[in-house]
Amino acid sequence: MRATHAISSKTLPCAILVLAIFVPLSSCDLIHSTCRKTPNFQLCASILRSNPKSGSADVRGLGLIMVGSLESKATSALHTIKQLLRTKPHLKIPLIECSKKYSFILKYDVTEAYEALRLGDPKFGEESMNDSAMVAQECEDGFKRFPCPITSVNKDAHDISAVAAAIIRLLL
Amino acid sequence: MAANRSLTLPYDPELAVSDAPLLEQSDQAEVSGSSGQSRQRPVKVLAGIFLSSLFLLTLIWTLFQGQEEPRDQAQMINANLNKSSPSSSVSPYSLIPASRGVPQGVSEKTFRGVSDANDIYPWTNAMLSWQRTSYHFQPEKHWMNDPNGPLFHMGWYHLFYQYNPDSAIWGNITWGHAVSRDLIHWLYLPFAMVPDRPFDVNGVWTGSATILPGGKIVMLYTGDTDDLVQVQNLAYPANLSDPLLLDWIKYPGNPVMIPPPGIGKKDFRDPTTAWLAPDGTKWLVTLGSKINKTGIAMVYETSDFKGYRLLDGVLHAVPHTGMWECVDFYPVSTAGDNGLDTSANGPGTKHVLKASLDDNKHDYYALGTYDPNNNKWTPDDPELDVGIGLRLDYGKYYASKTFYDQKKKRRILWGWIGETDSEAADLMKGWASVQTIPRTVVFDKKTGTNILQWPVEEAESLRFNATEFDTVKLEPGSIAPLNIGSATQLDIIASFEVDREALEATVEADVGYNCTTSGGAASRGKLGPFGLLVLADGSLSELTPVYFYISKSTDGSAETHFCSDESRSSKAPDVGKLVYGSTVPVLDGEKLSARLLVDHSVVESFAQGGRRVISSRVYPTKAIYGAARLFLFNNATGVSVTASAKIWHMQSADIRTFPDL
Repeated sequence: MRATHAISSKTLPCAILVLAIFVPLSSCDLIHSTCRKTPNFQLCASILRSNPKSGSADVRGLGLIMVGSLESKATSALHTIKQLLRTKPHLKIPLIECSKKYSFILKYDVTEAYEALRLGDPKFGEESMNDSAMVAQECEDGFKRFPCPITSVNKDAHDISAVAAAIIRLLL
Repeated sequence: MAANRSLTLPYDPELAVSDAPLLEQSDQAEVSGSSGQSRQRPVKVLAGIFLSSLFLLTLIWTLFQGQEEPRDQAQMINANLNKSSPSSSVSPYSLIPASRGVPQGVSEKTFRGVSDANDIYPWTNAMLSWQRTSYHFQPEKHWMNDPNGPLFHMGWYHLFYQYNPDSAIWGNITWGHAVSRDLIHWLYLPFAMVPDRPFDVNGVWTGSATILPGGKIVMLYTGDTDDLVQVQNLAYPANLSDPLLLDWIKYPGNPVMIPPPGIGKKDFRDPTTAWLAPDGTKWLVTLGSKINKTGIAMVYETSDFKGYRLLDGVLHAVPHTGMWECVDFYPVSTAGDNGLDTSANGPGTKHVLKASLDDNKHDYYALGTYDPNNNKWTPDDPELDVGIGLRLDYGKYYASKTFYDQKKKRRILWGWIGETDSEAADLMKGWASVQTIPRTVVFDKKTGTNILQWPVEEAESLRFNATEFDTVKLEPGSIAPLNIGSATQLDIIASFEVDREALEATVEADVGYNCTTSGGAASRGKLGPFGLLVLADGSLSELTPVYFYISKSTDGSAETHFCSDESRSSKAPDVGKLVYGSTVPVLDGEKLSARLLVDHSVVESFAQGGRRVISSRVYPTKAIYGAARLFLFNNATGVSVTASAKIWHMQSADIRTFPDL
């Protein structure tokens, strides 16, 4: 009897400790399970978790949030490019190209993805997000021999697009 | 009015899958095994074992969750490789991802720092305007997708289609409309329907026409409502005696079908043409959906096309195929050569069930038997069921739909050929997508396992200037130019005979060959590839091989593959570079035969009388206008091939606006 009490008094808090550590780690909330199916888990999770609507969103809602994040990134890219046109005039040509590309992403890719998700024909959204990943890459490629001053912006835009495409694929 | 019956599947395999059933079973075995012995042991050991098991369970479950990731990614890679999507592999050609072109695995979809190799292609107006087709249906400008409601009425063939009036990308969908006397020469008409009601304000989507005895026409179509729910609506011509069917009335009582319980509000679309129920007075119509990942077709019954009752169960379901879009369901005659009215059934018929899979953007079909009394369609071969077996077309092709042509007693198939270039190029050129040349569909009586598709005979009216090449001997590794002048608008019928002795002498060759993974016509085998090079320039810097490839296994059986190879079709990096194709049945005594319709940036290729079909989009930068050439080739190493070809030039179909409307 004494032995049983001794073990019970130690095993119970141990069990709670164990469960407290391991259960949250294996937490299966929707953001976690969605983001692990995208090419950039960290980026996906950080964007979604920082949006207050994500807690109550379904997968389609998470996709909309990601498309919205791309929209913000593309909009701020345009501002940054505008400033760089003043401070780095020798990069005028690739910068103007990039400006066109981010305008394109906003006007076409983001719009199409948003509509596809909103209306319920997600395959068109996947295509347009794949397209915008490519367009962001093209902006980067336009710099050729020069160091690109907006590499991190381009990489983000590319990766957000790829993540959005992967989320949309889950709806198909 | 709207049906409220809930859908119950007798068994949903999806529901049987859960995260850790194996672990639970073994866990239980462990506990019950040990508890058998522990009846004689103290409670403390039981508690310890239970807690350890629980700990182990959560630990293993955590790891199991982690393992899902690579598996899902592997599935995603495979899915992406099978469909058109961006890529950035390290090979010289397919560097820059194309939105609908080069395949890309998830692991390859990484951002690259600037490098010299990745040139963005400077498309010129000349290159882009060349891409426009001459005799395939396409609107003057902007985006098109699914063909809708095809029908024949008062001497005119009608085609409706999903259309964006504002832009060359998908959106703002209306019903475009065009008519033709002969399925080839089309005249544009005003829009048939625009999104202007609460029940379709967010999209006038795909639908089908039913012609009732007496000639009355009803159109069922999907509307995306103001609440963003997918519903089915009824529309009918304002004036049935108008041969052009210019004006349409939407039934004020719409929607007539709303998503039933258990079906997602965004998973309910594309109603088919209706067929008569066994009682001869009611009509049945089907549309696709999904339950978890099982694709289904459900059936509604109606007597007036206004009130509908959902039938119990589903017409058919196939697990792991995902959402079924653009379902099509129709009989084919097993004995005769004509098409059949959609209501035909009984001895001498089989039913084709077809679905467009949202998952991978391919159209699949299967032959089977329809039992209307039990609302069941059963495939002839469950291994080749809908979504896992035969495809209608192995290339860039989707959302196809048939109709019964009562004038010539044919079943006619329309299909949407999208673009595989970049969206930016589509915006630059101002348009996207074409329709196939309409194809007749009949049952293949010789094989019994597939349908045959063939361009409608009216296409032949465009032919002129025939040139014949007879018995051209092609040694291994040879190319023969076919000097026919201009090579961008062609109708080609070619046949190939492989040297019999060499074929029989070859014991084994390329077992496991697969068009899509083969690397295309540059990959030489003993018994293939051989065929045609279309849209090739004189120096072969750009070329599109359409070819046969024979593989043979040690038991002596040979398999013939039919492929369309876009991998070297263009110098531009931002276009699709896939190799499409599949095996094709070839019966004893048959030569290998192919028909190709070349029309600028579209190539439709038909093997063995239409047993297999491949639609390709190609966007050459050099092999355009007068620089495009045509060749025969044999790139096999072990066998010579004798080829014959008859080639016609094709006139323009002069597709334009209906005059004086």
